[in-house]
Amino acid sequence: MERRAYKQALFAVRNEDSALDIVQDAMLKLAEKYAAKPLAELPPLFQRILQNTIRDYYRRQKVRSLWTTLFSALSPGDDEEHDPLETLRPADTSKPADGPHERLEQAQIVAIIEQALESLPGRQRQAFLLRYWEDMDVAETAAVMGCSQGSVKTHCSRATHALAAILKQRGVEL
Amino acid sequence: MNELDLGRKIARHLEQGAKQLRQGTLYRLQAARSAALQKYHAEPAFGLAGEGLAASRLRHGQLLSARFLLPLALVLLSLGGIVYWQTAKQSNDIEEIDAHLLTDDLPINAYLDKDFDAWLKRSSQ
Repeated sequence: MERRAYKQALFAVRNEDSALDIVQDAMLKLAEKYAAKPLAELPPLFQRILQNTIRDYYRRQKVRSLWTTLFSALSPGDDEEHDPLETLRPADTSKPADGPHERLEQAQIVAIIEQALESLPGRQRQAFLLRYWEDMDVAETAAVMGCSQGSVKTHCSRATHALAAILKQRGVEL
Repeated sequence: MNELDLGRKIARHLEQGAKQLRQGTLYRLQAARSAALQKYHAEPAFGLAGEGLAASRLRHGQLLSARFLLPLALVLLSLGGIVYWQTAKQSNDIEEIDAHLLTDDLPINAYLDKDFDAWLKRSSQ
């Protein structure tokens, strides 16, 4: 849990020490304030605390406009109907990355994905990570983000399309 | 590839990335987790039993704070004052009637009282 939380914080603040501090603060807050809650309620609570702690970090740093929509800069403007998801072909994921070449390739793909995630607007990245990495459903994601389910769907869709466009541009096939 | 499939594939790669953190980072995360768990285990003994607001205040020691004790002391002092004043007033009234009886300086209303008259007759027999 803490690894994913750290990565989430790192994507958001792009500073390892700050990300570690954020995760530590979030875990302590969870333990201090919600120790009496049932175990099943703790993961979404932790996510909410984590997101609030990240937001507090932004407030302190006064960098509200760090994230720009890279997708708008990278997406082809001449084709409105173009859907980058359609251009991605399913790859054979059954092969484990055992050899050094495969491992290197895997590490490179991870690095590209992480860079792409960092470039997304904060809300899109947050929705995408909660929905697909934390495996929350739309309602849970909306509750953590404090927005409507429709907003979550919109954020997720935009994030996925932006990531698909970036991966395609970098020549990555998943 | 649809949105859900792509999202899940990206998540699988992210999971791989999260498994390859540096040792120093892992150590700090583990330390943070241990600190949080210590807090977590220290809290619930009282927290699980007392879900109510008053119980949680008790748990945090706020019940004993000056903010709570001062008004409580004022209320108790006021109650004590009222009880003392009423008791003193009653005994004063009784003393006054006794004094009038002894000095035979009773007001006319005392003789008009039927109970008092009956008592006088009974005591004179």
